[in-house]
Amino acid sequence: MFFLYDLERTITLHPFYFGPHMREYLIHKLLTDVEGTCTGRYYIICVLDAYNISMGKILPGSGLAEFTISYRAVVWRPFKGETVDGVVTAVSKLGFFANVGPLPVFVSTHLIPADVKFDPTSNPPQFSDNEGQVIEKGAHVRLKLVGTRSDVGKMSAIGSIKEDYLGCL
Amino acid sequence: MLLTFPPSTRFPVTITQIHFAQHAEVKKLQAIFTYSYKSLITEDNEDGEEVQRVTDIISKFETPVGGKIVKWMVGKGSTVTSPSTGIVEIEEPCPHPVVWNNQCAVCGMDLSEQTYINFHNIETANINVTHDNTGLKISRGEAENIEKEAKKRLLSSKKLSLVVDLDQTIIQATVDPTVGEWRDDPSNPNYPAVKDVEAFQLLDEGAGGRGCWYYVKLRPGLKRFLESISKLYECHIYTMGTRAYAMSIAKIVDPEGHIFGERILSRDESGSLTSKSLERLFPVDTKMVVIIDDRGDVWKWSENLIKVTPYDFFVGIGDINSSFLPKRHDYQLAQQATAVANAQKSDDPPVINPEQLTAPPSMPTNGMEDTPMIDPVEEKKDENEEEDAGVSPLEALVEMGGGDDPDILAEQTSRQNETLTAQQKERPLARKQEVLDKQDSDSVSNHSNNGDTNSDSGHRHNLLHDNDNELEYLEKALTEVHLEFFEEYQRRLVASKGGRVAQVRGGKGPKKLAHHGDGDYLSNVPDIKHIMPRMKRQVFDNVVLVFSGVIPLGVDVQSYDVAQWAKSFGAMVVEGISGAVTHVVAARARTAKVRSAATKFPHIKIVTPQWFFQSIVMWQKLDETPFLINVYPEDRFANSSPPLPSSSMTFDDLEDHMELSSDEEEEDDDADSDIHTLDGRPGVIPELMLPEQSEPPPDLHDLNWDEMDRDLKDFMGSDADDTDLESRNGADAYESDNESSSGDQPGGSLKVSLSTKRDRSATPPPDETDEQKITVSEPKEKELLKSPLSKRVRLSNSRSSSLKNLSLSAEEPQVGESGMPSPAQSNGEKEGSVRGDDEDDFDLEAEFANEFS
Repeated sequence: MFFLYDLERTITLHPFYFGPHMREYLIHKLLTDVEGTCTGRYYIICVLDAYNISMGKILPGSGLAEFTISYRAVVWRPFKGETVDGVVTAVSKLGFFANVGPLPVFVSTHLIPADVKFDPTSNPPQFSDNEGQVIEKGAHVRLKLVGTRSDVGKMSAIGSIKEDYLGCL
Repeated sequence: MLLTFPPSTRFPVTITQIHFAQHAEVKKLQAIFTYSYKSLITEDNEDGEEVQRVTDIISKFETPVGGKIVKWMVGKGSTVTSPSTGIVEIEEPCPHPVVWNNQCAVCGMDLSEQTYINFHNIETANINVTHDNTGLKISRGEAENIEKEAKKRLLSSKKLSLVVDLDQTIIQATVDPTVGEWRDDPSNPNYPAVKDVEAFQLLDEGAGGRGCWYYVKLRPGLKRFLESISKLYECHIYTMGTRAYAMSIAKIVDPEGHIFGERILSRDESGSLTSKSLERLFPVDTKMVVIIDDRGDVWKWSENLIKVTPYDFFVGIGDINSSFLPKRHDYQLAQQATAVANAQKSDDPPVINPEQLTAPPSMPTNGMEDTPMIDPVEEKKDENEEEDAGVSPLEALVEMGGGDDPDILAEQTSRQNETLTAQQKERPLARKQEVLDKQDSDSVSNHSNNGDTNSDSGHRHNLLHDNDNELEYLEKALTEVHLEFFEEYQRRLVASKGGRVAQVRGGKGPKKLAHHGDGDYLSNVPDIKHIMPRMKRQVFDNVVLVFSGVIPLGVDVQSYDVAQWAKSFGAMVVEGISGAVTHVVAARARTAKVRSAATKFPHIKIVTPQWFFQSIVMWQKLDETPFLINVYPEDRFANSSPPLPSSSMTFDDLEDHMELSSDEEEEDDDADSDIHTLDGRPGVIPELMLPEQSEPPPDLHDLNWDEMDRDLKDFMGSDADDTDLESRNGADAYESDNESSSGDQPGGSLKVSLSTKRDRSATPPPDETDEQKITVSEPKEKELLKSPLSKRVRLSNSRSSSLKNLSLSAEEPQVGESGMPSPAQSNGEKEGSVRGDDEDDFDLEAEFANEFS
């Protein structure tokens, strides 16, 4: 689910950058630093605006300036039970892997309907129910997250297509 | 799940109360029973003194898992004394059969979560079965299910699984940029061989991350091989290369991806850098799996393995991904074997120039002059040695078993990068070609004299030869294994069903098979581990091999690669010449084993390693005739030699010969003279005197042998005595054994065979009968270790290699008449009609002595 989220970030700046374009530089640095990262709980998708940049504080001893930037960002946090769309990245006999945006999801054969079977002889390997539903690498699937897991700086999830309206799109 | 007390509990523990009845649902961390244990506590009494006393302490047991209570193993009041005693079984709602990134792929639960009770449940799923994703693990039960499914599928499509190694098995890769240059230069002599070499670039490998070009030569006939094999086998790639490398190679050998598909396992996922394991891919059973690989040691010589001859197209490059593995030792020999085998193939039927075979330098003689070939190879040897010196610390690390240690891993990886960089910089191929060119210009004059046809003396020679035919035979072998497997399967199926119905069903092919129950499938599947070895063992059935000049000294013969290989094909490998031996595989024509075999046991076939390797490649025991080594001095008997003893010797024959040799005396004399030579006059040892050369000794028939005998006897007399003593002790030790085994044989038959063997001289030496008293059994070399002769072995070990062999065959000095070196106790095969009695031998000995003293 997407959220607008108020966040803060502290950025230190080398004295080299002190000057008229300091503000642009700070924002640029903020964007490159945080956009697309994962905190372990959510992904920061996009920074909307930096609404407050604190006064710079010179760090004693080094001459670097420290700024605290308050910004608003679009974040995405996957929830258990959420239905999402993804792209299949790999298919194996144990299930398939899909990417839901930045989130890798594994869908095991246990959570794939029984009539959708693994076919190792096809090239590339695929899950198929012989009625037009073909899950192979690159296919678009709709799946439901049955569990997510956070780690430092990354996340992963377990998905299921064993429900109505889930599966190949 | 069966719950137990943690090991840190203070036993004994008494259960005081149970909170939940059977079939009740409990939640995680809920207290399910109360227990008490005794503990020594310190407390203050009324007077303020500290008193220790034993108290009952009551505690609650909180379940680490939630679920339904299946069964209580204990009741109220029972006492538990050890952590191995089960208390209660709880059925979890999800058994977590598939785990991905520590997360159950069925219920989504995070299994790495730890509670304060310090309980992990990740162990439920610990088997890794996918080729490419190491984060995915499954439980044993799940693995069994999956394999059952896979087996069903394979059986119904009549396929087996084939695990294919890449480097030097189906391809050879190098990073030497020379190949790229040759490929683009049609005027280069190597152009025809390298023009179909494929190249790819891996960006993230190689020094400095600049990317590295790999040049890949497919083994000849690979496309066809894979096409036809993939109809019978489901192929998997299992390589020690990186994932990116494996994928690139797969793209080259199988562009459409219908042969290997996603079944590619690289060292990134293998789990070990020093060995390969079938269990990694087939955790439950490997009944239907065949492996092809050029190295047996990494598979621990698994019964599923077909070891192929390493493909060595880029001379001296070897396996670029083997830097993590221990050095291979069968490398060079096999390489020669292929070379010669291929040469033979080109001029079919195999006509081998005897001079080639007997030429002592054990160099590949693949149709061109020996001279240009010798030096590149020798140079390569040098390089290898240099490399060895450099790599050894790394190898030490590898052998310490730290394959999984990240530090060592990093070091190994950087080491491999270094090797690759070195190869890129040094361009070993270019250097070898230069040497080759130089020799070409040097030896132009020889060309005109030489009758060899393959060489056109006007042109530069090409270093690389595209003449490997291993895959042809491999395909045949694999097809046979496949056929045999499914025949056996059908037989078993029919047998288990019983009656004609089953037969009809079974005969109707795969479609019908699908109707059989699971039980039929699984119980009737034969095991490749039985079928394939059975087929392989027929190749060298009843063959007893002795390797001479093949296995380096100082290594354990039985565990040496070549010996292992031979044994996997049913041969028995022994270390010393005895009557039971049927073949001597000799890399040179002039080793002590060859001579002792030739003199004492005419039935022993002395063959080149090519016979051995090619038989293995073709999975059939080849006719030895074209591979026989002309034993020195070849010219004396070669022309008059009668047809060889039949190549397939029956067991009776064999026994006769054994009998003959074990009781016969004079062979020992010959051996004795070797010893004398060794001790007394190193100067006349033929090996030393005869630098490896192929021209026959000059005709010396008209020399005065008696005189020479006498001279030599005088010269050697001094050592003869103690030698005699020593070896007699040794001999006595065997005597009893021997008698027990052969005592019931009539002596007369011995005589007969003796005389057929040596009927050239009309009069046997007078002392022969005396000597007959001393019976010496032939498994000498084996006994050697225990006997006083071992001292001699040690002594001779410090000398050159051929001398070492000499001492092995040395037995019992004959005081009376020896004193002669016996360089020419050879010609075993050829001298069937030749009277090779003692005098004769001495003739030869003296010939040599004379020639070189």
